[in-house]
Amino acid sequence: MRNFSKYSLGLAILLLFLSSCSSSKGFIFALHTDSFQNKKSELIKVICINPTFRKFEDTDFDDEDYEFASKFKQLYNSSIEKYSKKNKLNYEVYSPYSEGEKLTSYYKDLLPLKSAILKSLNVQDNPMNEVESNTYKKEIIQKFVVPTMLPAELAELVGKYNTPYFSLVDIYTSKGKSYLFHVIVDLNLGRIEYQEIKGYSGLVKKSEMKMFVYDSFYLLDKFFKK
Amino acid sequence: MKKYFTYLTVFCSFVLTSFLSVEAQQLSDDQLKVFQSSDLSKYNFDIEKKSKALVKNQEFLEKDVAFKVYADALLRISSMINAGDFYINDEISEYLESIIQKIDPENNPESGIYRVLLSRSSIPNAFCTVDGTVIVNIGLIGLMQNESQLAGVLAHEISHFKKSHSLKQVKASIEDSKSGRRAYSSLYLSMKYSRDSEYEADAAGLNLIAASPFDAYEYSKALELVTGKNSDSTEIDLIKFFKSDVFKLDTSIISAKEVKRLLKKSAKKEERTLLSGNDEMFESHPEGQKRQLAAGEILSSISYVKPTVVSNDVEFKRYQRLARFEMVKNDYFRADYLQGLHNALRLADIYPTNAFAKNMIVSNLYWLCNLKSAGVIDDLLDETEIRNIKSMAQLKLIFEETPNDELGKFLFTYLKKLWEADNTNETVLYYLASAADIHLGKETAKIHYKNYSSKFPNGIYISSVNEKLQ
Repeated sequence: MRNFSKYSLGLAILLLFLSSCSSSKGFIFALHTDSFQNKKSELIKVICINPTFRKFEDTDFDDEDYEFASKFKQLYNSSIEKYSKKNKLNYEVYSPYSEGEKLTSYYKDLLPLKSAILKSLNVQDNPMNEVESNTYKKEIIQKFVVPTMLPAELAELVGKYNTPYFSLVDIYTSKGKSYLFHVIVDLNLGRIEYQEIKGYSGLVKKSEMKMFVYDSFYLLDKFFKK
Repeated sequence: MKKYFTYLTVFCSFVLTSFLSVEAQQLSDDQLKVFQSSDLSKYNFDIEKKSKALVKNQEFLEKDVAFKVYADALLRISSMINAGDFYINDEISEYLESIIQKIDPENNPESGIYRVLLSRSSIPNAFCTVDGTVIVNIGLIGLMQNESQLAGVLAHEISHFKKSHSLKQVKASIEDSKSGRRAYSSLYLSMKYSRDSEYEADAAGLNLIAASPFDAYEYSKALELVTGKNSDSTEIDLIKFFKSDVFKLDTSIISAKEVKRLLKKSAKKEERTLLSGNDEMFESHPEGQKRQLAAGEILSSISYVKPTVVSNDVEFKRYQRLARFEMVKNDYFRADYLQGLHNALRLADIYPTNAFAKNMIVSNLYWLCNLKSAGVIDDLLDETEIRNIKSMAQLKLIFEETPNDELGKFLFTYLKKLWEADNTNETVLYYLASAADIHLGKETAKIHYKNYSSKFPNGIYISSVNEKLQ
């Protein structure tokens, strides 16, 4: 009888936990892949290209609400620098908010690179390209279907920025569903080295945004400690 | 004798130096110049401030509504800039601004009515947004045959702005639906004007051109080119490419019926948005021929006489060449491989000895075969615009219908033949090794990767090759 009550208490706690998980908003999936062969010491510096927060009117991701998103931009950029530092990762943000040489470099070199990375992600078979998918899953996969490749000519930027690593940390949010992704490319190898995509069942507001940014860098840091 | 020998040596070195400098000149001619100007105000602007300034100069909408319209348009443009869709401080934008200067006398550097943004899209398109931003796709410059045609299209687009067509439509839309923000937002996205507005912009544009140093008769030809009616400027001979003496891809799959079906389907596709970059110029212009006729009538009514000295096309030809190279580069960089292959084949037709064109054929072909073998080519093919181009429809069918093995075999055989013909091209060898990986397996691929590693130890693909050999 004593054992039974112990088990039933455990079961009740488990059921309570599961029900709270299913009723609240949260991550509907988390995909993560990498092909890093090197240790963290190799990740000397990462150039983060204009972290973008985009808000859409609905889950079709067609009609964009720029006013909502514009309130987040500055905070989003500063969160990336803050939380990457907290996790001892050297992320240098280049964006329209940068100044001087950094601003010029952003427009001249990094914008075309961002465009190339985004377009190459389009041909990849990943949940971002299957927005209608509603499946509840949480899994870690080793490889995405297509190994995304970037043009070898982009390797010119490695010398200029003293690092082969360039990243995108973007959020696309809408009332029904949101996507958060973090990508690191190695321009020497012309491919994506690290990729994290998360699906979130709800609108990403300030607190969720900070949580995602922190969580993402925490995961990246943990990954190197494996 | 020794003296003659010295003269001969000097002469030879002179010839060689001249030859090399011509080569160097040709190489630099293919590079788009980017001005190192630190003035980035065209790309980095205060949306609120700019919207407020624009509101003062319009009379169609109430102030708060007008503010929202301008702010929304500027935010969208800013978003496109921040997605890397435009060139920054490039020489072609400056050239286009100089053409607009000649078309519209009201525009000058002080008034700054228009600003040109050059988009990386290879779809021949241009449009003018509510704030006077003229967005020109690089594909339009690559397609036009002379400066007057380009000027004609630009004059048409700025006429929409001068006649306030967008603002008038926003007003009509708000009055109709009374649904506020949603109404002008969706209108802005579709970028469609009514038929009457199109004819009005044609007439106004032709009047502007008639008073400028450009040939207004060329506008009709520009319409023909943009709507894909001039096949000489857009089509390529695919059968010649896919039928080699070594390997014959089954080109019978390009049945006339299927090609016709695809072209028809493409013409019906109407939902093209500004942000996806799939917008097509004149999509609201089903009556291309009628508009050509109307243009002729307008020119006769004003007793138009072609100027004796038409603008100089030397400058245009240089930018047209640059645009054609940039189009292919952009298609590849932006992973639009089907369009990239089509444009690269066309580039190789125009410049048969150009190495860049050959390499771009190889790179795009490899990626199409790779995506096909990974089973994820369908989305890419569906997103590619056929745009009335028969050979684009044929190319799409080839990649849809040909089995993986056949494509892999074609790719490998094609690259092997290229490598045997020229064993100095590192791109060909790299992709030959990658194609072997798809078609014949990893061990065969390693032979070619090793060959690359020994022949090109400092090559652009060496990091990838070394990793594959590990």
